[in-house]
Amino acid sequence: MTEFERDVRAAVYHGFREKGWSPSVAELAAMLGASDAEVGAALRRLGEEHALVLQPDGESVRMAHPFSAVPTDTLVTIGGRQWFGNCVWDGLAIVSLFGGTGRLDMHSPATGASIVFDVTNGVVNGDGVAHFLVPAARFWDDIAFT
Amino acid sequence: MSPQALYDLGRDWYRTRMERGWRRAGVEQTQQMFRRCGLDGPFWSLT
Repeated sequence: MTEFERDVRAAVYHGFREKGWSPSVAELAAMLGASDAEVGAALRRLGEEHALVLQPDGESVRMAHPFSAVPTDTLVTIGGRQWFGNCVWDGLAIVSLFGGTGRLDMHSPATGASIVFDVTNGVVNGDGVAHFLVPAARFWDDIAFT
Repeated sequence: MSPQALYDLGRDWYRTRMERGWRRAGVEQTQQMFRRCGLDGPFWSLT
């Protein structure tokens, strides 16, 4: 990862942290004083390295783990602010990244029932069991499915 | 896997993810992280 790619990656995470979503290529270019082409190339390289996940268009961010740039069924609420995670693992991780207190709302993939986890100082309250369908060595075969 | 165990794994897994200097954990480091959370065996093997 080059220094510029680190800057791009950091700017993406800054967007998620501060605003809840990923900056566009144009916004990243303006933030970093670079061209759209330079930012686009860096994003593609970061996608190849699995440091980010891009949309199918290859131009915009879909995931900066644990954050999702598209709405999902993993909604994290912390102090009135909200983020989407990619899965329950990521949703709980977002709570941990912001201090360990927050709420995760989602639905059971099996039954559709509402699931709520309230986390207070790193202690999770709520019923449920997380199942992993894909072995760890194959997480990146299809990361959106994983 | 319990929600608490998953929270603990996510906390460790993503602890430095938002930092500019983040570097991906190596295979052995990741494997150790899994083991600390009780995740062992072929399903969690990275090799």
